[in-house]
Amino acid sequence: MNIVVCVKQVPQEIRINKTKGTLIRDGIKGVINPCDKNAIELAVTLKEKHGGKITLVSMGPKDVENTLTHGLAMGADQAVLICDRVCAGADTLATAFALATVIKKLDDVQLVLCGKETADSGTQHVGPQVAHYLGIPQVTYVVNLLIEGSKIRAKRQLKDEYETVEAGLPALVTVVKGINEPRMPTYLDIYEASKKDTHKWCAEDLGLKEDEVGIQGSPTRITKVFAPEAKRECKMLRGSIEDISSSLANDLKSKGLV
Amino acid sequence: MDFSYTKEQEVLKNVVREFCDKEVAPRAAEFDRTAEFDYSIIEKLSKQGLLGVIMPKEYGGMGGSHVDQAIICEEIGRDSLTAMVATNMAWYMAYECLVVGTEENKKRWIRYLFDGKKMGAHAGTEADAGTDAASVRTWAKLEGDEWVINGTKWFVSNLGKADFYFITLRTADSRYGGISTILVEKDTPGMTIGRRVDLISNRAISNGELIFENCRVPRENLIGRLNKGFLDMMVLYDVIRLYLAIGAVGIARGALEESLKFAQERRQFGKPVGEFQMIRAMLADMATEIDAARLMTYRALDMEEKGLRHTKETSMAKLYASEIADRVTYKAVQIHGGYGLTMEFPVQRYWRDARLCSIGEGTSEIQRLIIAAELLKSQNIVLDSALD
Repeated sequence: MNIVVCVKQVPQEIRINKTKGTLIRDGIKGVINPCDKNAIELAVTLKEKHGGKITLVSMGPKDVENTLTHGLAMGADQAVLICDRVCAGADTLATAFALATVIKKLDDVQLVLCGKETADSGTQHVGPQVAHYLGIPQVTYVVNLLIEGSKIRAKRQLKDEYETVEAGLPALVTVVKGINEPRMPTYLDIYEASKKDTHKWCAEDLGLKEDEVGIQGSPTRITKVFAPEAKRECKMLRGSIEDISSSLANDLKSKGLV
Repeated sequence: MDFSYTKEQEVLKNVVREFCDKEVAPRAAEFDRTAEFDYSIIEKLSKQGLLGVIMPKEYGGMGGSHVDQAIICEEIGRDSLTAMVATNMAWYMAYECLVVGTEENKKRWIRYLFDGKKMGAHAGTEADAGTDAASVRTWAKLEGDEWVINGTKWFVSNLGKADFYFITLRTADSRYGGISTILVEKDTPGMTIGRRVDLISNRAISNGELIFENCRVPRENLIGRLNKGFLDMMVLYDVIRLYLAIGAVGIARGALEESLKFAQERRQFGKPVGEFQMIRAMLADMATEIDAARLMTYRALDMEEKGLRHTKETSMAKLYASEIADRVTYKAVQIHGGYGLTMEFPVQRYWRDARLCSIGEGTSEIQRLIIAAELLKSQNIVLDSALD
């Protein structure tokens, strides 16, 4: 079974320039988005069981290659990096369109895996949008996934409950962090990974037009970015345990917190 | 000239960081407090193929480069210099055997010494033989097919934890030309552990006295050439010292990273202390010195890869890295103010641990003598007499 894992490189630590309200990327090392590591781990365990080929797909500057090498060291077979200046500034829709275009060019992809969200923007849009462009079913927030013949059986983590659903293959699945413990590549895995293929494709190679990618292909307009201000308030409750607990319960109720 | 890491080295650095975040960083303060290191880290490191990567594949290593090995040492040293020193003890002796051992030594010992579990230790120092390493008085005399060892070693790191000890001792009555190295396995009758010493620096590395009273080991336990042990030791030091240098860089980097975090969080006079020029000057000097020390160490490691002589460059790197580690960790405590003096912040531990670097594996003073001798091409008080 051929599996694609969508991977994003994110800054190792999330720091916001408080005056400009933008994410600081300069001088901060790029790493694999944490949830994407879980998606790669899932792909590798599925491959161990069902065979097939794992392709990592990403979009970004040239240095994303290092991040992809990490994914290859975890057990993926090849990587595709969409690397083109015209793709810069893409919103989630333009990103999903470009990723889906690559996936369509790959042979017989049965399963597309994504992390639930990214550490740097956290929209949770890209997975579902890729499924839309591919015209395949999507199952989000997955904590457990089984392949049963030509369909998948997935356990979804919802706010207060789990839901188990089935979908036909090909399908797209987004995974949550708790689904598994991503493996740490060994020294030899790292050196083996650098022998695997990482294909760099530009927009033209994919037949993408300028108005379909990057800023031009992005309908989203960001009007303001800001770091949420955390406010703390301290109130001392005094009296007997009964007084304290009833006053605490009333306070929480009046603030609509319970 | 290429100052950048390869693609593989970038990934290696990330993977070792991931390992350390999980296995080393959360335990480092505990090792220091309890003066006990958790040796299971060595097996885990070995399972990841990250232990002694410079050892050749035929001996169970990875055949990796010295820079790869240095990347691993720096990351571990960043969280705990103790962990770096301890994990290196699981491959140093095999490396020694590889560099100075005879073909028979290599066949007989390397695989045995380097199995990802066993720990080694080196016993050189004695009560009256430290920097003047050639003045050792522990003797080994050949009786039939056995060496009989008598004497007392002091400041033996990994004491009681090691599975085998490499003993620097006297095998002939010549100051420099009578030194050899003999391997003694733990629990060998005649070798006992004496007084233990309580350290302020790298507390979890067990240390103290090792006593030999008619301790008998087979003739084949002689490592390297008979009576050429002093020269062999100097050759080995040219490389081994660089790993302490990169450990010093690691610990200094840890001190800087903690200081950067603190300087941005701690507020005084209505703003983060990192906004004040005097703190900024300290941070800038710390970062600059760390960078210089790392580059000097890599330069010497690169010369080793290329088969060039680098005695001077090694001593320069070891001297500089050790001394900046001391300065940088001192400044880290200073930036932390009162918090720097509490056991709740790691910088006090970095400060204490860094103190080892300018004393262990050749003091800063002996490094300066070596550098000066190399510069002046004059008689090297140590090496030339050894060559007589």
